[in-house]
Amino acid sequence: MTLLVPLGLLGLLSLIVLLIIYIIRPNYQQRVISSTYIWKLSLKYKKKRVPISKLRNLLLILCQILALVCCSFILAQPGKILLAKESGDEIVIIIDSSASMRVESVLDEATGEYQNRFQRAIIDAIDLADYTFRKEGKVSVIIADDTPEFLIGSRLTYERANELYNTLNELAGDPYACSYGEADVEKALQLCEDIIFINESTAIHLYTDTEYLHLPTGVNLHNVDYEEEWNISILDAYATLEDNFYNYTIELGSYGRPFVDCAVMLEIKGVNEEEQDIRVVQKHLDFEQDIVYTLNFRSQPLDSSITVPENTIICDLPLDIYLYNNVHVSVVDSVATDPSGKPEIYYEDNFYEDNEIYIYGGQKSPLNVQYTSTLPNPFINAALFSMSALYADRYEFSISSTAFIEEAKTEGFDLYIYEHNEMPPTLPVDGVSLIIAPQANISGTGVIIGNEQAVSVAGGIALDKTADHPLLKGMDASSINITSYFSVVDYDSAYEVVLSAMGQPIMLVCNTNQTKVVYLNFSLHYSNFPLLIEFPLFFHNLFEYFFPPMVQSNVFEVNKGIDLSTRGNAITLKGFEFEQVYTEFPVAATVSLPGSYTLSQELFSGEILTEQIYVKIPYAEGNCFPEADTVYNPYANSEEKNFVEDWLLYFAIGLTALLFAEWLLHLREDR
Amino acid sequence: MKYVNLDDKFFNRLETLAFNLKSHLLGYFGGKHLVSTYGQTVEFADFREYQLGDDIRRIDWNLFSRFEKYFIKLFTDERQMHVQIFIDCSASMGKDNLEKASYAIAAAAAIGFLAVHNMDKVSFHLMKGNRAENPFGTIIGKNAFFRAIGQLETLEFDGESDVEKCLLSTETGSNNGLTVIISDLFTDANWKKGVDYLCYKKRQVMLVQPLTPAEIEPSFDGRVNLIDSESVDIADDKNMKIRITRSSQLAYMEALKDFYDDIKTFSRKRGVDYISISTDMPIEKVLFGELLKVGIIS
Repeated sequence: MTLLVPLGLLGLLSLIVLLIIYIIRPNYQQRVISSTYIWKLSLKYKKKRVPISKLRNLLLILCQILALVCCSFILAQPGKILLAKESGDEIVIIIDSSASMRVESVLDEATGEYQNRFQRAIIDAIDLADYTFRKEGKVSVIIADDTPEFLIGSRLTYERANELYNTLNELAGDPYACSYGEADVEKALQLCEDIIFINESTAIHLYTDTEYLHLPTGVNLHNVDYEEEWNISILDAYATLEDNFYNYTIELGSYGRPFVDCAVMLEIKGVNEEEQDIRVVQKHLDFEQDIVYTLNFRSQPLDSSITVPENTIICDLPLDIYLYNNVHVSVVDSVATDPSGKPEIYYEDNFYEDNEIYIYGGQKSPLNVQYTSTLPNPFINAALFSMSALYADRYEFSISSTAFIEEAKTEGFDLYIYEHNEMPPTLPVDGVSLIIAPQANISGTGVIIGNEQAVSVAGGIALDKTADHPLLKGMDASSINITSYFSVVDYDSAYEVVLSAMGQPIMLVCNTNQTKVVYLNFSLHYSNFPLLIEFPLFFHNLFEYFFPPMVQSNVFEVNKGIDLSTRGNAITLKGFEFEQVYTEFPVAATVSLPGSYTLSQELFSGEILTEQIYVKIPYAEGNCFPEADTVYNPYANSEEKNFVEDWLLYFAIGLTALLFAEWLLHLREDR
Repeated sequence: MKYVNLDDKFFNRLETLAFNLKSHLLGYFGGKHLVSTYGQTVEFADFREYQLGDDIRRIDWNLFSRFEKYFIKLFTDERQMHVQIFIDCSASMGKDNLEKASYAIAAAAAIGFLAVHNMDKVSFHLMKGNRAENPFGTIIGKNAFFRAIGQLETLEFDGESDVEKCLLSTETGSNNGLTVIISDLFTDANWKKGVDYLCYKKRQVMLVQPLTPAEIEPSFDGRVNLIDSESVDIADDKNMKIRITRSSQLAYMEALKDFYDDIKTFSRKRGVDYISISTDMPIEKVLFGELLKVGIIS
C-alpha cells in the first residue's frame, strides 16, 4: 500500500485528542447514599447477565481508535502502486517541427550549407539517443508537426539504433522534413503517456525553440535557438473593398533584432480593365523588435475622423483599383536594387520564406441571370438587385429580362427565371432554372403540371414545410399564404417536395448533375410571399445553395483546412509539385507547403472556373522566439489513472462498519 | 435534631387501635391482654369442679341446685406485655437522609404509644455499634412515654450497628411480649441469628424495614462513585465506583427483590411479622394499613 498524500497521516494526531477526551471526560461523580449494600449485591447479578462488559468497553475504544485511523488513511489517499512493467533508462525525444524551426543561422562547414534549428535538434537528438543506447536504454523519437507520430516506432532498443540514426539523418537532409505549419506538441506529449505507463521512469526530452515558463517534472527542455537569430515576417496580407476600390493591408513583425530598416513592395498585376501592372514601394520602414506593424495601402484618403491605430502606417496607392489579378507583397531592401531598378527581396534574415506573400481575389466570377416573364414582377427584380449588391465582391452580376418567351434563351446563363410564361419547350442545360407559376409543362423537367386551383379558404392557406432543405433556411413557411396554386399531376423521384399546401406539392427542388430546377407552383400575385422577409431570404438561400464560392477566402495557412464547395462535380487543387482532385463535398483540403495554389472546377455548363489562393506560413510562426506558459503533463494522468489502484472505497467501507459497530456497542452499553 | 412532629393529634388517632398479640404469651400481671390462662377478670371462661382451697364465693349455686355438685366459674386472665422496640441507629438509617430516621422514630413512637395505651410496658433499645442502649428504661404509663418520646426525637444516627450482637446482648424476657426491630437491614451482620434468638425466647417479633424511594428504585445513572454513609473515608471498602446503566439498574432491582424475598421467607418460617415500607408513604397509611394487614394491631 502506498499513500499518495502522506501528510494525511497527520490525522493520527486525532488519537491524542481521543486520549485527552478519555482523560478529561467527566470523572466519577460522588453520590452519598445510605448504603451500598444492595448495589454490591447487584454486581453479582450484573456480572451474571453481562459477562463481556469489560470486553465491550475494550471493543468500543478499539472501534474508535480504528475509525480514527481509517479517517487518517482516507486523508492520506491509500492505494496500491501498480508497478510499472519495466524500469531502467528510457527516453522519449520530441523534435518540434514547426515552421519557426526552419530558422537557419549556422554554417555547416562540411556541406557548406546553413543548418536550421530542426537540423541542429536532430543532431543533438542523435547524440542523446546514442548515449541512452550505450546504457542499454530505450529510445522513442516523435516528430512533432501537425500530426505527431513516432519515428520508425516506439521504444527502440540498441538493435535498431542504426536504423534510427539513418532515418534521422535523412530527415536532416530533407528540406521538407520540417513542416511549414504549426507543431502539436501537446499531442506529441500525449503519445508519451503509453510509454510512461510501461516505464514510469521514462524521461522526455523536448527539442524546440519555444521558451516555456513552466515545464512538468520529467520533461526536459532543449532550446535550439541562438541569440543572434532574427526574422522579419509578413504575418498576414489581405485586400478589402472600400467604396468599390481595393485597399491592401499588410501585417509585419520583426523578431530577434532590435531595429531593422527595410521596405515593403507591392507588385499589383492586372490592374483594372487596362490589365496594367503597377509597383508600390514603401521604403525605410523602421521596424522595432516584437512589434506587429500594419501597413495600409490605400488610394483614397483616410477619413480624418478616423484615428489611426498604433503601429499602423498609411501608405498611398497611385490609383484607384477596382480590379486586379494578384498582388505580390514582399519585404525588400530599402536601398539595393537589381539592374532593372527593382528593389531586391530581403534575404538577410534567418527565415526568408515568410518574406513574401500573394493576395488574390481581385477578380470576380461572372454570374448571368435571365428573367423571363410575360408579366414582369417588380419583387423579383428587386430581389435580384439585392443579391447583386450582396454578392458584389464574389460575382459580377449580369441580369437580362424579357417578356417574350420567343426571346428567352436556354443557354449561356447561370440562372434562368421563368414566370407566367408558356414555358420554354426544353429545360436549359447549363444553369439553374427557377420556374414560378408555370402555365405549361417543360419537356425534360420530369414534372407534369396540372390546372390552376383556387383556394376556397378566405385569406388563403398557409404552406407547410415538408423537408428541412437549405433553400428554406431561416424561413417561416407557415407565414406564407397562397390563394391559388398549380396542381402537380406527377413528378420525378429526383425531386424533393419542400413546401406543400393541403398535401399538394408547392415547391419542388431537383439538384442532380444533370438537372437543377426549383418549381414554385403558385403565382406571386396570389400570395403574400413577396411581401414577407422570407422572399429575399429565399433568393439568398437560392444563391448560397446553387452558386456557392469555391473558397470563402483567398488566404489560408499551412496544414489548416481549406473548405471547398463546388457548382460542378469536382474541384482540382493545384500547386507546386501538388495536385489533388476533390469529388466529395463539403471537403476541407490541406496543403503542407506555402505558396500559390489554383482551384479549378468545371461548371454545369462546361465552363471552367478557376480561382487562386495563397497558403501562407501560420501567423504565429513568424515569431522565431516564441514563448508559452506550459505544456501538457503526460505524467499527471498516468499517475492517477494507471499507476495507482485506489483503496479509498475499501477504507470507506471499513470506516462505515467501524462506526456502525461503535454505535451498536454504545447502544448495548446504555441498556 | 427533631425529625418528626409527634403531636397530640398524631397520638389521638392511635387511641382507637390496640395490639393484637398472640394469646399464649404469659406476660405480667395487670395488663389488658387476654391470655389463655384463667384469672380474675369479669370475662367468663369456663366451669370447674370445686376443689379444696378454692374461694367459696366463686361457687356457682345455680349449678349446685341442678347437679348437687359444687362448681366454680373460671374467668379469663389479662396480662401486661413488654414491648421492646429496637431502633437501628446506624448512619444508613439517617445520617444524610432523614427520611428513614423520621419514619423509624415515628413508627417506634406509634408502636410505643399503642403499648402504653394498652397498659403494656415499653422499652426503646437504640442499636449503636454492638450494643443496644436502653436510655429510658422500662416505660409504663403515658407520662413516662411522652418524656421518652421527647428525647427520642433528637436521636443521632451515626456509625454502624450490628443487629445480631445488639439483640443477643439485650436482656429479653421469655414469652412475655413483642419485639419490634426497625431497621433497613442493610448490614452484613447476621441479624437472622438475633431474630432466631428472640423466637427461641418465645417473643413475638415484628420486622419494620423503612426504605427511601431512591433505594427502592434508584434513578441516577452514569459514572458514579457511591459513598456509603457508614463509610469512614473515601477509600473505605464500602464505597464503590460503578457505571450505572440501564442494565445496572435492572440488576439492582433484581437484587433488591431477592433481598425482600429472602427476608419474607425467613419471616414466614419463624412466624415473624415483616413489613417493608417506603418513606414516601404517609405514616398513617402504614399504621392503619400495613400493620392492620399483618394483624399485629386491630
